[in-house]
Amino acid sequence: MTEVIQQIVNGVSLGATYALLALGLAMVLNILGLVNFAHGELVTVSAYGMYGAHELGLPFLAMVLVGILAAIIVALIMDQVAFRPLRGATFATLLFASFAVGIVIQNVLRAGVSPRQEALPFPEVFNQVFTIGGVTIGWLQVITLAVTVGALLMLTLFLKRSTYGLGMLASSEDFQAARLVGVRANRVIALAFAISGFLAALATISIVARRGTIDPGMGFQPVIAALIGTVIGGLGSLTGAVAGGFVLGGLEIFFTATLPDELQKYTVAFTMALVIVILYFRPRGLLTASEEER
Amino acid sequence: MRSAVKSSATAALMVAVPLFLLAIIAVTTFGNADQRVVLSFFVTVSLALSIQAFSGTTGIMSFGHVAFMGVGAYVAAALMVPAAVLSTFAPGIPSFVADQELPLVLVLPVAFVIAGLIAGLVGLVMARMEGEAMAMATVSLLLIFVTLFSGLDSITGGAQGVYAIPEVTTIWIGLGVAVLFVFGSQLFARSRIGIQLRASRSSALAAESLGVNLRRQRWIAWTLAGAMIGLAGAVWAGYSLAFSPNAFGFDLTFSLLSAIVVGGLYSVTGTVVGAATLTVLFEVMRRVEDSTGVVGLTQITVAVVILLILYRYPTGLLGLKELPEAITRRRRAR
Repeated sequence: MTEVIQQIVNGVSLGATYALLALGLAMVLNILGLVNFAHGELVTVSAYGMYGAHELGLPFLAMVLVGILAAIIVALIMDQVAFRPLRGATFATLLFASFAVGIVIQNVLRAGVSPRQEALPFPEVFNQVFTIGGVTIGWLQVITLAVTVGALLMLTLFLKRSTYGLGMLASSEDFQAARLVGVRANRVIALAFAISGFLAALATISIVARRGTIDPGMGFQPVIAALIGTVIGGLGSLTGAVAGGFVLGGLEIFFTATLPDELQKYTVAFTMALVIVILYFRPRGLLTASEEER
Repeated sequence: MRSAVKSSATAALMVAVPLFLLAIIAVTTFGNADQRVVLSFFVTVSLALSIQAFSGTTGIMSFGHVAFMGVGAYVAAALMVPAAVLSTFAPGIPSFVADQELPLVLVLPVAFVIAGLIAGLVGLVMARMEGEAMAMATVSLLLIFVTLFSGLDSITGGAQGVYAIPEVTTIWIGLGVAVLFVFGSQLFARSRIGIQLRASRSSALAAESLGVNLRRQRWIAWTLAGAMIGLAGAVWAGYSLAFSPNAFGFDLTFSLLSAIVVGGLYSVTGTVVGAATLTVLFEVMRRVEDSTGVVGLTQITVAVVILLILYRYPTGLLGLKELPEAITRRRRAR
């Protein structure tokens, strides 16, 4: 029983990281119709920001702050430089533009910092565990979950209470209609990119804590997770993206915990097969309204 | 139908002549390394055309077809690597297959059929999905196959991969397959099924309401593309000589899709133009990178140029047009 609880905690914590990633991807996707493959590079940039701060000898919280700022700034530059000239382009064009942007960022880091893996040690607390009623829980899991819940609450408040937030929420429901009632397009898009950078940076904390290292290609796994999470939850739904992230994390931990040893190497295959099953039966995602209601 | 054959042949010829000249120049004047570049370009064209046969006609991006290229490459390895070597890294292959050392001419149709069968089976599920869901499911599909390629180590050599494939793919084979694919893809795009699928690109609902059996036609395009890329994968194996499961990942998928999108997603000859553009750019920049020692310069430049092309030509260099038309149009505009 205690092992089950432990695995649930693991699943929820991994899911929380995926939820942050998927939500960031969905913010931009809903407003701009862009599946931003360079979203993974926001994670990478944030990690390199933290690495830079660490090399300068800054304390951990300053590292995190630098990481967040780096991701937000790069997300904004991405929008201004790369995607603004492509407003209204097709899905495929936007997708490949974002892919190209990702390659540029990866190689700038490769050329400018180092093509190799670098160690980025985190404070000890991330490796420590505590025990409650026989259940051993890692602080990493607790921190991840706390950061995610905090970020989601903040974002919800911002979206529901502030003028900008409402404008964004409206835009993510129906961008054209929102523009007609006076929401400023480029400002909302920039805001969406900034938020997606912020969320990616928060996810980076747990990603780097788990890996302990950084490298220029580290954004790939996160962006795939974000993409799959968004898809499971239903393209076009912000709550769906969060739920999809948690479902994906849960599935991954479930298969790792239950598959017999000789099948462990197929964990990814089982998870992805189930994703296809979900897409097959619920093409609009798990949370979205059914055909008739639309 | 006859006019479709004729116009497909015209387009294939327009591509075949310059490619043929390129091959002759390569064989007579190029050194070994540069000949390999030309061959690699021909193979890239065949691989990209296979994906285009599905994505170009249906308008649905497939990130998954490189999985079937992998199937073709592994089939080629099983049939061409000498049995004694094969048993050292893939002992699980039954001896009646492993003992074969077939020539490439016989391997290609086998790769075509087996990759087609597997693509057809997978397609039974994939082709029933809605467009967006299907595109996303292909991402999962590729991850599944890459995991299987390294997991089924007794027949694939696992993460270590496959080696000792005989060097059988010549420039002429590469050229022949590429030209054949240009012709075949054009013919498919102009066939009844191709026309129905192209009509469904702008509105699936409208096409279905006019009696298009979309699921069936999409399944056919999916399977054909899978069989084509399986054959191209065998050609690829015959010149790469050794490979591991990572070869069939997102890196290759994206470089092939980039060629397609840069050339014009909906244009068969556009794919050739896109692949040529990216290959030339890549080779030039690689030399600049080698002489200047700036790591990553090639990748950065190629990516920036892709961006610039997409800014200027959002639907790709040729847009919706095929080569003959794209050129005559320009002339008229002058």
